[in-house]
Amino acid sequence: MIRLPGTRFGEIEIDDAKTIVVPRGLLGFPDAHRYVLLPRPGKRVAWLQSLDVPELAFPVVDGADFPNYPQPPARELAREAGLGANEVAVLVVVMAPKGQGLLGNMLAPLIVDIESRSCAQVVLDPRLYSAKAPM
Amino acid sequence: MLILQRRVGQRIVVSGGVEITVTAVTKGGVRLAVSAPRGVAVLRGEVHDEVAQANARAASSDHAELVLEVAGTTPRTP
Repeated sequence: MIRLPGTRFGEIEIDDAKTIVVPRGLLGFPDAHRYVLLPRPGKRVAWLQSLDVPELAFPVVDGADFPNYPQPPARELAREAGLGANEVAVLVVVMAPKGQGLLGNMLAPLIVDIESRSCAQVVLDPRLYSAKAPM
Repeated sequence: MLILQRRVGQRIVVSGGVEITVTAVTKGGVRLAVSAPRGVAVLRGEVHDEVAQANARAASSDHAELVLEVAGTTPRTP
């Protein structure tokens, strides 16, 4: 366990054995590579908290909540991204601009190789998916 | 910034295994073929910017409290 001060949640204690590594970072955030997922019991939205940049955290939801998502399937995306594809999770980054409810970035999900705990943000076909899809 | 003049059929090689070939030039447009190794993303600039902007908005604090209010089920932890 490590202590991480300066997050938007204040100082938090984190199980760094559960670190998820994003070698290329999220788009626009190339220098933040190590994250942990902070689930919030009973809530749909979890936080993907950066270990490199304490003030950085992305709200995410489980991609498995969406039927037939993503296309192409996550395992295929994992292989294309150079990740292991035995067991793959999908996270969708969400935002909640005032008055618009929850919007999900269905265009660019995070693909997590559960075995190695490595992750990549992949970009799908913009004709099929929106970066601001109502949820 | 490197600026190159290329003709149809000619290539640009970027270290890391990326190759860009000019396949056609039309009035007001150019057609490029890009090959890159597995794991190297090739994106149209405007799509990259759209995703980067969505990420930045998701991470920005001005709507954090609103997100915290949105209830539901717990995502499966990878």
